[in-house]
Amino acid sequence: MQRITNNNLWKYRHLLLLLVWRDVKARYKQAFFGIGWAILTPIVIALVFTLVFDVFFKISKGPIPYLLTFFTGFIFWNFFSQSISSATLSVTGNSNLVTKVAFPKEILVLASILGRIPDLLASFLVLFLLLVFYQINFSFFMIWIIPLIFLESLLILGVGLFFSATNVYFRDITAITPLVLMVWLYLTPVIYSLDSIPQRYRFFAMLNPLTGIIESFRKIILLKQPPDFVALAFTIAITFLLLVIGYFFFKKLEKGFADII
Amino acid sequence: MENVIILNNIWKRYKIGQPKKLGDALPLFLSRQKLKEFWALKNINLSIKKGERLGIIGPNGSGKSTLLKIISGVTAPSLGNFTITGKVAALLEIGTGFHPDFTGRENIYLYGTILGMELGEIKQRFDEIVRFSGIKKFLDTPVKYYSSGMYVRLAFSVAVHLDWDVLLVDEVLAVGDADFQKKCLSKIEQSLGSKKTLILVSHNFDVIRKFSSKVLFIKDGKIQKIGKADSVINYYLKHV
Repeated sequence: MQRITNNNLWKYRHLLLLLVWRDVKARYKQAFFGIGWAILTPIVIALVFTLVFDVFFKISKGPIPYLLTFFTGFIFWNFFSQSISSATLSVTGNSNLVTKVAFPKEILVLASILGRIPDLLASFLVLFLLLVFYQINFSFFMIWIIPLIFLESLLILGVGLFFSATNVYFRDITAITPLVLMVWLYLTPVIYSLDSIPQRYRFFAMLNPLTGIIESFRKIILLKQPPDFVALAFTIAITFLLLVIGYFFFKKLEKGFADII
Repeated sequence: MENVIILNNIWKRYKIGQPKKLGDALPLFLSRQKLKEFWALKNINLSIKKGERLGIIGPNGSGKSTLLKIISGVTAPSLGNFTITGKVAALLEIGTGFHPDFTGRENIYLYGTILGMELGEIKQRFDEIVRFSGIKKFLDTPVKYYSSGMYVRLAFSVAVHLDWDVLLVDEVLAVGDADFQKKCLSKIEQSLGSKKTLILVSHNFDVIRKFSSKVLFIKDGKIQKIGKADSVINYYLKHV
């Protein structure tokens, strides 16, 4: 069967760009404080978690301030959870486009993820200020930040393709995403670090693709060491698997989007 | 002349009452009940030559829009296959993807890319689009404050500046005031020439007569008659 929409994403790069711009602009246009919220929100969350887990629960052990341990994990977690939430709604939220315009629908998922990049950059600005405040020196291992962000984006894309496509058929996905994300947060070393997990559970923690990313990030920033390659290998393998299956799953379900949505 | 569009045995099925909640889907799946089916298109065979202008008429729910959706690639046929050569532009609804909080200027870019233009192309034609729309004064006002007429004008101005080989138009010409409608029609007529192909769905027989070299009458998902405008329209009036 011949389809006119050719799947050359390059052909749709301008549409992708404009959809990202629309998402970002629409999000900040209405709010009085605009992009400032992207800076203020992580600061407030970091302070509250530090108060509860460091001051009340006395969770931290080593010499590294808990605020930094938390924030280095939270940056990647926050990008993940916000992007997954947006991606889940990306197809159903654009039903007018889906039913009236022919284009590869994964553009919508991609746009919703890329639209979260400004928020990510804002929290990196906060991290930078924290590192200066705590007088943590910068090391050349920090160059690893870029591949880590790239890897996480691919992971988000894989999961996002699953969620967004399924959501067209069953809106239950919208309802259970917050629950999935909350469980996922507590099973990821964000509030705690990997060494607080007892040895016998650690293998399971490694199966969580976010573990490798967050632990590697902590190593390069806080310990000035190369990334945790063992954990990263798990992350890369799982990400690749999710991405491939997610893409084919999405393309299979995509054929029905315009009829079902 | 070569064929630009060939449809072979196209069938389109819709399922009625597709469950949206897992709670509804599960019992349905377990009971192995089949959903009711509705065939919107039944065995459509059609070939359209380069430069032809096809008008499609038919009562509501006859399958006109479904046919355009398949040709434009928005939805896939359930059975059959088709080929299309050249750049297809589809106006199935005017202003799809407009963002109400964005200004007219911003929406020109947004809508242009949604219709398949490149940013460079839009920039190049920007002044022309604005002049054509006649709403230069409100270019930097969010479109949510536009009247429905202004809204349509802006959307249409972008659409008529598209570059295409095959243009699909679904009933959208019936909007805007009479003057602007005329302006749009003559703009489309201008760009038609001998190499471009037009497929037009409309209930307005004047528009159909004016634009079509050939008219197709569709009812209950089947092609009833195809031929010269007057004879098909007369046939239609007798049979509906």
